[in-house]
Amino acid sequence: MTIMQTPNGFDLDNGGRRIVVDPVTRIEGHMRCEVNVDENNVIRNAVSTGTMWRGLEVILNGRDPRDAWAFVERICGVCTGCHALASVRAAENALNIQIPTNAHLIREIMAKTLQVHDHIVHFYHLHALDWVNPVNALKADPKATSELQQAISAHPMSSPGYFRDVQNRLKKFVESGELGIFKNGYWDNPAYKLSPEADLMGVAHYLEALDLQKEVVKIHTIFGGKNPHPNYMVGGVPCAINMEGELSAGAPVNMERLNFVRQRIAECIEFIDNVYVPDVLAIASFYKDWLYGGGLAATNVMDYGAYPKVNYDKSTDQLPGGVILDGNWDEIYPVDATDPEQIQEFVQHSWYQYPDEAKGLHPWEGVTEPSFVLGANFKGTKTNIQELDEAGKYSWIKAPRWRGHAVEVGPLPRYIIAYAKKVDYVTEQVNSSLGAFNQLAGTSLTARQALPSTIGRTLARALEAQYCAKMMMDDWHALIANIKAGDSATANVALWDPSSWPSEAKGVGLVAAPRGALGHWIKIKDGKIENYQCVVPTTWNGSPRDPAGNIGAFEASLMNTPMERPEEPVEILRTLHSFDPCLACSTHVMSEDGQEMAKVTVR
Amino acid sequence: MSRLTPAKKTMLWLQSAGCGGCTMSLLCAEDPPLLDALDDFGIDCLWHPTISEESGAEVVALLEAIAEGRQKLDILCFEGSVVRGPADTGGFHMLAGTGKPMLHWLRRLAPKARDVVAVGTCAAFGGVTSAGANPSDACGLQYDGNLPGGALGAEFRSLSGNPVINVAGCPTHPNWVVEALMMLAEDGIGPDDLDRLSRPRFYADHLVHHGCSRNEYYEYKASAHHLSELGCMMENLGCLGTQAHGDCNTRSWNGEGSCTSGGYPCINCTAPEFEEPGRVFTETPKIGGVPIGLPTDMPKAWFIALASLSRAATPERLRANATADRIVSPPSIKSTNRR
Repeated sequence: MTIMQTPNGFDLDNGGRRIVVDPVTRIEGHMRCEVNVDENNVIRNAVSTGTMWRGLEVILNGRDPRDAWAFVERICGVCTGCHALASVRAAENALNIQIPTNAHLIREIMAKTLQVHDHIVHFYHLHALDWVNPVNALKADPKATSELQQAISAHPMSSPGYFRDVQNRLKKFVESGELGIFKNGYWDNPAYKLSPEADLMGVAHYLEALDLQKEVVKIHTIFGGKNPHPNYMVGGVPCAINMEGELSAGAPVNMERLNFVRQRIAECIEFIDNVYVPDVLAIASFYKDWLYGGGLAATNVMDYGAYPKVNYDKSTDQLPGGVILDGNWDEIYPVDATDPEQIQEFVQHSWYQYPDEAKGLHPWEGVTEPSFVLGANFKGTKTNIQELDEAGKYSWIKAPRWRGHAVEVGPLPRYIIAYAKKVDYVTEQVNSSLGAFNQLAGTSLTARQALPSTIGRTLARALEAQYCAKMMMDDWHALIANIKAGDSATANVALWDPSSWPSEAKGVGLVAAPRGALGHWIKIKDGKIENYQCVVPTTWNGSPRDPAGNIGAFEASLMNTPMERPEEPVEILRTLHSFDPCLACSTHVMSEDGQEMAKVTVR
Repeated sequence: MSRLTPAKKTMLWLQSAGCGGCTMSLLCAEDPPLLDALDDFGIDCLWHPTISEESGAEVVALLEAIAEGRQKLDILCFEGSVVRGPADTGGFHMLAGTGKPMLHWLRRLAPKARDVVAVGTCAAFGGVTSAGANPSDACGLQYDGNLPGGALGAEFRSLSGNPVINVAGCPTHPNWVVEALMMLAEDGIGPDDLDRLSRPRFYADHLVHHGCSRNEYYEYKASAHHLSELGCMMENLGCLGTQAHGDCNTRSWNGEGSCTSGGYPCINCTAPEFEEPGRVFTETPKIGGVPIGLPTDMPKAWFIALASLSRAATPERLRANATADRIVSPPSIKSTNRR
């Protein structure tokens, strides 16, 4: 047993019982988590591991930078498009290419479409069942469910008959075992706290969201040809705007198509306003005493900033960037992704090797050389690890740090920064939803108390979806206005030909990805990629320890959480899911595995 | 809803080294949507990593039951490529909770399945995961790029006698998967229904070129020079639509579009080794001004003859529009009383 204090303020105790959750389920990719619980079943040590590697950066070396987006986009089919966007931005940054206004607006709409889609799918299909108990929903009174629905929002699908129908469908699923989609949760665990009616409402919205999400992605199809993996290009967007013709060949964007996009945006706004945000608040109110999971969000958060009103003018970012340290919301440090002193990746506890592992490397100088070595005190065999040794190397995820600090990234950090910077829309959203929550729960929590928590992380994601849907509509109006003003350009091809490029160039592309701050760093030599590094949100959040001993956001968030039944890790899954982990991305695309087979062992 | 077929088929879905995009794509299946399609055709999904909640020991027990023949498995769907590294152990992807490589499970389960479906190009041929130096030694179920073999071997046949059914695409079109599942539910796929690369002919007997909105530009060799221009993308911008097998332009994506209608050249994502074209995706390699990759089934001499003829005959309207980002020259209006 070792008790030690980390530089970022956590007391780790690896005594007590060790619990292994492998894999962590309902996430994108392959993840393992080990915790130590004390005699009261409170988590006192946490070890999070990315367990796969695919080596995409190696695949990119030597390729044409104009093609890179098509490869990195295929890192992940869930956050599809955000790697492509980071990639074209990195290449444009390196080659000094500025994109036309229409291209900027179309990319903004596509990026926010992804945010809305991803947040909705995450909440309803990957996260809701950490809170909602579908088996309990069978006990609900459809009439009372209808009253509950009508009390919390103006959502039209709210009749008793509707909920009875949903309940019957659910009964069929559960009884026949068919699809098995709601089979085998920990449904009798007392960690589930909703009323049967709220559970039934949640299940109904799970099914509605499944239908909605396939409409949302059509926006990508209009501008990018398909989803997943819509098309991008260095210099703009490949879809031409043709507002004079009818549905003219090769010009997918015309008034009819744009109106189709507007309708989809309007549907998103309506669903988020009437269903998503009210659901999160209603669910949160049942869990008002469960304010665990804050971790680093209470102290250190970061984002690069996103959604500029005026492209290339960071001061117009509608979700501003920055770093907050030690929970001091009054001081926000600027982030410079090109500064070699600011963002560095460490590998002392990662299955990679550096010449000097005490030091971090800026992504432009990044090295991706795998080295699968286990710590001296691991238990089991190399191919069947029973317990990792976190004193040694223990993850395929590197450990990125900002000036040496471990930080959390994601919708919650973006919302903490925006709230601290007093962005009007965000302030209003946070205050009004907090008011509604306090009223439902009979509490009087402040933003500082409520936001840095698992529930706060889930709420911030819903609010960000709401904000993005609204901004998307603004972008749509701006696009129409720009086209009306006579500008139909969607691509800048002046520097398309590699002969127009400098022999050496480097750039960075930054994106507010659904899971947090995403950066791609590119170095180009003689027209080819010389080095390519992606530092993705789950790398920040899921990072292992660094040489100084700081723990990352996943590990920090689990600390001091009590578990009802350690052998049923509902609480661990709930908090880890609140980050929306994407291990396919963070391990630079080794096996997206996604298996939901939680092997839970208690030792 | 009453079932169209009373006979129940069982389906198991496994994911390995891919991006999960084919599942995301499938969730967007329309008319019918996925859950309705499974219900209508009596397909019982035993387990799917994204749709199912089932966890832990029960899934391992299910896999064991299938492997030992105690549980019938009609359709094994496999998404993502199979990683064989390091050193043919498959250890780069251990199926979580089992302590065994996915490669091991695939080889145990596939012979027990009535049919095996490789969902997406990664599973079919290796795909993007196998690009470049292929650090994880990734391959498809029955192909390693263009070479027959892959993880299961060229001789593999499932219980139905079919080879692995390659529903290739990156991602694959949701309705290709749904159509394949519907046909399998009715025992409707035999070896004759698959092309030489074991792709279902219902989509692979079409070319992406069919129904392309730029066909008139193609006919007159009125070509775009840059992305975002309206002309045909075959001659300069690397478009492989005249060679790529797929019905993307007649069976629209998400009900609304396709790559070429969205302004991007077809990169032939249903084909083995599409990820390694040996050139930039958006550049057509040529010798003496003639594209190296000619339209499928087109003799070179005829292509050259026709191309020069049609180039000479290109209407001014198409010549002007081909390199514009919007229609600058509309079609003239013909008198309706002189047909």
